[in-house]
Amino acid sequence: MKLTMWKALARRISTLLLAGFLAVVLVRFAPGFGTDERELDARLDAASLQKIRQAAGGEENVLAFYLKFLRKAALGDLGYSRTFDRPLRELLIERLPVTLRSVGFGWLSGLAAGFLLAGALTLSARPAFEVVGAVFGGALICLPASLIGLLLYYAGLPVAAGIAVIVFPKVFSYAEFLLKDGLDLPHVVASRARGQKLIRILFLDIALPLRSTLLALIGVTITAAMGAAIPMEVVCDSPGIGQLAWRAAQGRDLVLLTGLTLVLAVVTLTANSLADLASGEFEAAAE
Amino acid sequence: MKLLRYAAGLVLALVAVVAVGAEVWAPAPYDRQFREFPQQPPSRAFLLGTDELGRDRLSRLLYGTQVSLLMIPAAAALTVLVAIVVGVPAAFTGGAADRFATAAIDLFLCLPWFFVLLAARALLPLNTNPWTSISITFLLLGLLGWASGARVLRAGVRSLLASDCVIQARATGCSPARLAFVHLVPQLRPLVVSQFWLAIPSFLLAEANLGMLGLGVAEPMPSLGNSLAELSNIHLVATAPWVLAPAAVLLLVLVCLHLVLSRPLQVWTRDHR
Repeated sequence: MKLTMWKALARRISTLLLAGFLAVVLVRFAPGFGTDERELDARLDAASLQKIRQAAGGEENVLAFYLKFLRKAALGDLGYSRTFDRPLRELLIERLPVTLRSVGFGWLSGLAAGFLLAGALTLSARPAFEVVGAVFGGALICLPASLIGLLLYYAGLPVAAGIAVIVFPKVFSYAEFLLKDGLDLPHVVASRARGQKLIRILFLDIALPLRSTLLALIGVTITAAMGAAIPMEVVCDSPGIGQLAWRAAQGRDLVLLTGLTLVLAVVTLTANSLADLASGEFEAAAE
Repeated sequence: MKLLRYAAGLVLALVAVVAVGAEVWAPAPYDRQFREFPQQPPSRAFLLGTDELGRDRLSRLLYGTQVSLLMIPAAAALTVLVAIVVGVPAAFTGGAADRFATAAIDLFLCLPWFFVLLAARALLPLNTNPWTSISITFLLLGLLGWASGARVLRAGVRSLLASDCVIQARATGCSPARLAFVHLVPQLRPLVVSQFWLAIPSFLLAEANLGMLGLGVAEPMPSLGNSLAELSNIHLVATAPWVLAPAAVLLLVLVCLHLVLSRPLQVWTRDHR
């Protein structure tokens, strides 16, 4: 068991390192890389321009850059952001908690609302409620994230509310289709025929057998929540890592993008691993 | 409920007919500018008003629906297909294949694909044919959007493989092919349908955002996505609420699709369990 856990951890770490490397490759070969808009500033003299070009010089060779980044990161130095003119470590310490708070609250709220509404619609089994659910979920998913952010900003609501609005329709849609389909399962039909309460059937006969799928859904919605943080933080001017990511992408800031990709990879891998672990534990307990 | 589903199907068919026949139904070409009538409210001449360049919004909505309703479902179907091809066999076979697929899925979820799209635009010539740009955009969206669906499908298959009906099927000597196609695939329908339904508006909005990079549907060709992007101007929405018409059409299509897809195989799957 211990060996399996260590092997799984080693695989996750390999995936993390590969994600960082591929991100560096993607950014390095994307159009606009190597062009610093400060070079267009007519006020700068030749020496300043030379210094700007030299600063970006170490990023030409992707493998050398990435190995150097990892070596320095192992010693606690995550590099220097050209865009913000500050060490990356400082930026992350300052901004990561802001995003984690927003994403955490938003994700949990969206998840709870999605499952509750899907469960309520399944229990009610009324056509009118199904239409209302489809309209509500459909309306939220049709709106651009920037519009949602603006509306919330004007309403004085936090970024977490916007993330909840974006996560909710995904959870609701999957959960509703899964739970409603579960009503036709033979053992569920038998339970209903025996007069069991619908809420008991929903939890024990439908949701519990679907725990692996629902846990996987919970895992992938974290990635969606982290992705939603970018437009939300930009529109609402919230000082989180979403805003960092946006500015980094615009400026092709390789150090910042590498660091942020690794952070996102850690969150994604942790969420999915916890979901897999929880599924495994439930399965073992069931046996 | 059956009546409601038939009505939803009818609405979808009607939208498809109107969209495909946009050249027939549209009162004016989508790029015709009535320069003397910019930003007009709805009237007899312009049923949905005009935009800032004096173009008829109804015509642009009809042509935009044509472009979006042709390409988006295809891209959504492609992403679902890739998710099935990656997630289902990996979970079914297990072992190294499953571990490799899981790592690939997690990797896909982490990477900044924005730069792939930038690179794609850079590879295209500046005067690229609009339909080429549209096709490449939706192909890329279809090929990049499968990861989360594949993960959920994989978990679904693993869950089903441990279920009593599959264990019983195996015990009675059911072949792997029969097990997969008769016992597993039909039970993945809610997951597949959810992913397809969610992909449609996501891709529409992504296509609108990609317009900023020069990918997707380029002006003056309209699309539902471009029309939705206009909604980001909240002041315009407050002063000219008829600009919400494309969002209303999209919402109508999504709701009808949801009703049609929610339990169309109910009888079929019940007979085959």
